[in-house]
Amino acid sequence: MSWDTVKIEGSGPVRHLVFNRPQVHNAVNPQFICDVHDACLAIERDLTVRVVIVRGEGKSFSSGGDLQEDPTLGPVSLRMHRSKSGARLHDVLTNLRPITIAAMHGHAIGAGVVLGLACDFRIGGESLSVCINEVSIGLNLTWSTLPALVQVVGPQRAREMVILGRAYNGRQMLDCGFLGALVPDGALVAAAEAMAAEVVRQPPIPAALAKASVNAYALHMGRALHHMDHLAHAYTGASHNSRLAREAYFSQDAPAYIDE
Amino acid sequence: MEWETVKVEGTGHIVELVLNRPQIHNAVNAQLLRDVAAACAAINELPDCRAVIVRGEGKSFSSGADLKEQKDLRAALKHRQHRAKLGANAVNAISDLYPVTIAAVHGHAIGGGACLAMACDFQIGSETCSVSIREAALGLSLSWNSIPNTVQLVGPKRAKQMILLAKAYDAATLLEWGFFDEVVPEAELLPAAQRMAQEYADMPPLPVHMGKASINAYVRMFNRAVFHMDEVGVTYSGLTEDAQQAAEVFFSGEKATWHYK
Repeated sequence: MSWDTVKIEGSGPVRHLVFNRPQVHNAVNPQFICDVHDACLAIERDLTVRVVIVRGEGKSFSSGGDLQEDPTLGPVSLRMHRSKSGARLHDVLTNLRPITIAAMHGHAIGAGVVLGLACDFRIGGESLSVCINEVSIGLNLTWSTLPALVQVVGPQRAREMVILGRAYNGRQMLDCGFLGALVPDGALVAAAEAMAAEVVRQPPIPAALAKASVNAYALHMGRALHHMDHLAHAYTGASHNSRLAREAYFSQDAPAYIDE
Repeated sequence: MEWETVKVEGTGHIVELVLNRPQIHNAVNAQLLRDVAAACAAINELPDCRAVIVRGEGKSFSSGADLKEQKDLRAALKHRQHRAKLGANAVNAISDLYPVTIAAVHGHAIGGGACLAMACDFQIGSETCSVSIREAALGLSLSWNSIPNTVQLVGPKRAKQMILLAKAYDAATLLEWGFFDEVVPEAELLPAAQRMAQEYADMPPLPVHMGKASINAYVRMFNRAVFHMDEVGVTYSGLTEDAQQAAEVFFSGEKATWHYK
């Protein structure tokens, strides 16, 4: 099955959900959000699917928000709307009935990191570089993602990743628990498929219930605590310093923040 | 906008989400549950919508689970679980609507039909309407993430009465219990819902949006987590001999002896 920017490959219990904008490193734009969401709904309806491997076509997993689109532009309702649609996608992917395994290589930036975080398991290729750059471009980390990040890497590393916007290699992401395994790029898909085969060997109902329960326990506060993410997204994007931060991000000059 | 079993009318500040199987009292089947979720997703995309009236076409709000479909469900466990998940998705889709929601209830609101009404922010009833949560009488647990919605509407004690005794309640009782915010003659039901919707639509939209979202986030914080085993509960209870017997005597009216099997 395929959409403009995403395709589902395979038949039987294991499928591949493939981000398919390789020419732009699978950058995230509204069409992409819509397509991944619809692909997830299609998977949810197919009761024969037990595992989904989530990966990116081309050189990267996903380079995140398409920076050609300036998120600070547009009326409040539109800026909030963009963030809300991402949050709905994050919710659908996090709670997908089948087990999800993200196979991540190349760049995972911003929303790209979030998509990997929404999966049950993450395996990295050695070329992987992870960077949460939202704050660096003047925005909050949205899509109700923070709770999942804190659960996976703990509060201190989460603060470091989000506040400082640092880039991390695969080894660092393995050490802090973001990745469950790190393999050469060439072995990445095989490693994901081997794990998928392990899942399929387990009985379907207890396996699915365990996922649902872990998610319920680990993530239930997230939706409540972050229900205003989209408002914060519009709010942070509205500031002058946000614009300065974005300009500095591209020009590499030091930003001269004003007293807001 | 129209789907197979549901339609959304209006494009301005107030729209109507209409259950549209009037020939069978808007009985709930898998298609209707999918259509409700899809309609809610579409409503959330409408930039001008500030209030939604949820109502049933024809003589009733909704008579609940389509019992024809129930028989087919004696099939695979995963299909029964999936069906329960569709119910929870539809209920949560209504609760998660950004605009303020008002259920306009006339005729019968039974079981799954009552669940859809309870998912709204406000409920207005016609004087002759009747609401029942009949699952327990069928040997089934109440699922669809609707136990917390019931408790939040009428409090734990009344929720236990409604859910555990599976009786039908009239509009006057439900007004007293806080289930209904208003009860009016049936001919005035829609105008009353419109008036209430207009009050919310007349307010500045951002604080209304934020206020509803925040109140819901706070009150419903544990809903999905605590009730994430709902689909297992209803599937498992449906496998019991008691549930089998309950389905048989439900229509014959014979008295049954339950064996906890």
